[in-house]
Amino acid sequence: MKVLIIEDELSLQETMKLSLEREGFVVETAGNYSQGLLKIEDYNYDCILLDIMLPGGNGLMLLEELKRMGKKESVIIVSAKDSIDDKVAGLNLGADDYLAKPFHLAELNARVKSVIRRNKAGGSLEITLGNMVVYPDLQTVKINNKELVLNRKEFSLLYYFITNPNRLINKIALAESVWGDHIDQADNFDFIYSQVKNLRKKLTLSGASVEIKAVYGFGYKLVTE
Amino acid sequence: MRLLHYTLSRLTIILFCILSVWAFIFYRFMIDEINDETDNMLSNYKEHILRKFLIQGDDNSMQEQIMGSYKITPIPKDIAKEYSETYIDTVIYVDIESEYEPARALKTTFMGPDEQHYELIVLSSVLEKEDLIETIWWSVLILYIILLISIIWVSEWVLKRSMQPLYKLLQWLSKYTLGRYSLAQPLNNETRIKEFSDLNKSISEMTLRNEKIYQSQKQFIGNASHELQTPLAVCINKIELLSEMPECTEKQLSILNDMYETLQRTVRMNKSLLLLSRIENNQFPDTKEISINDNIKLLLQDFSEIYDEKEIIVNIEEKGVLKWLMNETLSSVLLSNLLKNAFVHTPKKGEIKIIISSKKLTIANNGFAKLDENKIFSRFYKDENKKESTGLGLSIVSTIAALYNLNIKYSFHNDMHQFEITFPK
Repeated sequence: MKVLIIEDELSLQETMKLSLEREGFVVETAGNYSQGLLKIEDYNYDCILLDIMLPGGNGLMLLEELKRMGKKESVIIVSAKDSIDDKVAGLNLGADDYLAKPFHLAELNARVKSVIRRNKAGGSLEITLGNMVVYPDLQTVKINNKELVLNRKEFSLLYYFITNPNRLINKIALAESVWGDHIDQADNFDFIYSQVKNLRKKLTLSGASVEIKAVYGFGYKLVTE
Repeated sequence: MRLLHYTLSRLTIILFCILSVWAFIFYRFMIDEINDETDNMLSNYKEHILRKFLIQGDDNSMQEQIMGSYKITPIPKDIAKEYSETYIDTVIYVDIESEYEPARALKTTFMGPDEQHYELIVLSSVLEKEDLIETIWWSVLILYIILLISIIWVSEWVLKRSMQPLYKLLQWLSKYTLGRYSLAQPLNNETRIKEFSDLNKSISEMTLRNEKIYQSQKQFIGNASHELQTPLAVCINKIELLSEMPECTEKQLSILNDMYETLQRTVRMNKSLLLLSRIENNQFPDTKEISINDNIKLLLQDFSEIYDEKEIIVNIEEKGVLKWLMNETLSSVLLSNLLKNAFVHTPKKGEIKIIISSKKLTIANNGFAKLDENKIFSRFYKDENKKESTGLGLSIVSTIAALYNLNIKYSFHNDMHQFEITFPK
């Protein structure tokens, strides 16, 4: 799987690259418009992470260029602007997703995997991890071919974990992925603790080979045996 | 007091004083003139009598005529020597009317052909002064009233017409809101009066200047928060990478977590500031009819989950269906901020009461003491015990409310903080 990061902030570019490489992606980078254009013209990628404000041109123009070349790459716009206009313009131009800066690396992984999965025509839509199979579109989970009943929130949590297997996820990132902006002022993260506890119990009871481990003071990790 | 009424009342008082003085002086002049004329006449009369007396002699020392009367009495020589000619005011008895009437008298002496000194008093009945005063009084009064009415009428008319630009300007100013009205509705107030056109110009320039300052301030906040996003992203993501390094100890992870949480708080604050600046920049133009009831119930599900630990009792009372035309994002931000506020600040096992009627939404929650209602909606005003709070939530609420002309009120009674939003119909 090849991912191209077009981002002018080199420090951020490097961090994103490191994180995606840990997930097994082959990552290439571009720091400005012309570099980005060059890479798009010469190679094919599974996913392109595109910053809008680039030295030498607008990221949206690159997106247009890409569509004109008839390329089918999944594109995720990564922008500091977080404005609805840009979001709408980007999605209208054929971007698959929009990620506002600042983001959690776990969120980035989840989004990249999700667009690649969706873009895989005819490919398998399920994710298999040990003896667990997750069908994201159907929102169902099977363990040893037996369905595990989860509520909406539990499923979101699990989905976030399986897109970031063996990665330490901070509890804030986890909370935000499931409850969105509503957790803004939450004065403690006890609710995350109890939700994860429930999910862990269900997984253990159904004999799943994956396990959610708490990392004291920081967050959680989905460990595959 | 309106300018018109103020001007007219001053005019009335000043006019009254001026007319009173004028009436007095006018009266004095009239009396003086009358006396003068009478004296002249008496003098002529005297000459006539004397001529007659000296030529013919006269046995009849007291003569009464239509125009007046005279009296000639012999007097000793020594008195006559001291005598000087004088005019005096006196009274005469009029038989016909059987009353005393005011009169003017000329007293003088002369020497007859017989070397005898005589005193001559010539009397002339004068116009009745009292009548005169009355007449003058009345005419001045009538003049005053007529003058006043016409002045009031004329000045009202003139003032109203000439003050028109001022009233228009005032009306414009009262509608003027920084960042909203002035650009959409420029001051269009042509006038030939220099003072007003100067005023128009100054005010237009001033509002334009304010507008520029306001815009650049808004832009600054927007840009500053915007420019912070990328560095924040770098820091957060580096911490995430660092935390995954196997050599990280639990102690180090705990420190990393503190950094991470602090950074997240900064991110939230930054996002809120951006949101505020976006709302103020009118970047949420799309509206649709939003059901407040449905929205609240949906949000309550999430919040009940998040604040499950606090065992808060939520009572929702739907007296009616509240629908309002607004931006979907903003309505959700408005309601979620209010609900979040209630959930965060309710003590454990406390109560949240929500009442929805067709034009009012009330959200009340348990609390301990009344908050300062003048500061509660201002930026960065927050509970000192709640360090995680950005202090921007309610400020965002009031900004959104202002955008849609909703009236939001805070009150505290029965140990409950209460936020009441009235939707104008």
